[in-house]
Amino acid sequence: MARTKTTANPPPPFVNYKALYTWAPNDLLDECSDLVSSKAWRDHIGEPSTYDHRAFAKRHDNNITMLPCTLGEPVCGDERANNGVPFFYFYQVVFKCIGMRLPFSRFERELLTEINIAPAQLHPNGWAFIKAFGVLCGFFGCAPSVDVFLHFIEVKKQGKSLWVSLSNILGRVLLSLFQQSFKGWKGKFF
Amino acid sequence: MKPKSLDELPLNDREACKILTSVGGFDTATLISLEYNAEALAQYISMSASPYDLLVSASIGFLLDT
Repeated sequence: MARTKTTANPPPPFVNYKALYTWAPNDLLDECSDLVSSKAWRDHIGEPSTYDHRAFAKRHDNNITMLPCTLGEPVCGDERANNGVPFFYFYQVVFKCIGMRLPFSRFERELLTEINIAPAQLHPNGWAFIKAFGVLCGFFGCAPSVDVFLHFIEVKKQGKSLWVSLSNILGRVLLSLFQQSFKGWKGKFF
Repeated sequence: MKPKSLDELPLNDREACKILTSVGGFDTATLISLEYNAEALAQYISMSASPYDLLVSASIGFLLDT
């Protein structure tokens, strides 16, 4: 999340993503964001003149920037397509509906590392489990722990699906689903 | 990925698991919506758990601090 941007929008350089990510299946390369315009960006964070970090960050932090994607940029992109500057993609619904904010907490970072996924690989309901678990632990005065989380919640990957979901372990139901179904969330990420 | 069993966990985590198990299932959307409202959150959680569970859970902070 550290791409820099000038006020003028030069046309994005052509990047041959298929050649760059030979490992990626077509449906992954086809998962591109509709949020490519500065209007989409402004709609999310507010007018630049009244720049509001609260739409994506817990506090103002010069190291955290949220930017719209370029046209045709697949969700599997990495810093090779961004002049070597590290960043990650994040679905808008997770900011808007679930209220996740950056930077990730230590627990969130450790969990993503443990289950070995990128932030955009996790289904929104999974993010809701993570957020609600953090709230519960905060109430009970204990630090959220990856081991405790994975005692109650398991990681599921459906067949060849590229996204990962989290679900309650039978007999240890701690949290309900945030929403039975999320619609239209794919194709909307920053 | 295999679920973590209680036996595999350090003592503090085991205690946390027992407490969370004893208070049971919560509504994720409600928890998230009450994140910044401590009083309403306490009320919601106390409605979902018996006073005994909350009494036990109050000790977890102490256990983890030691």
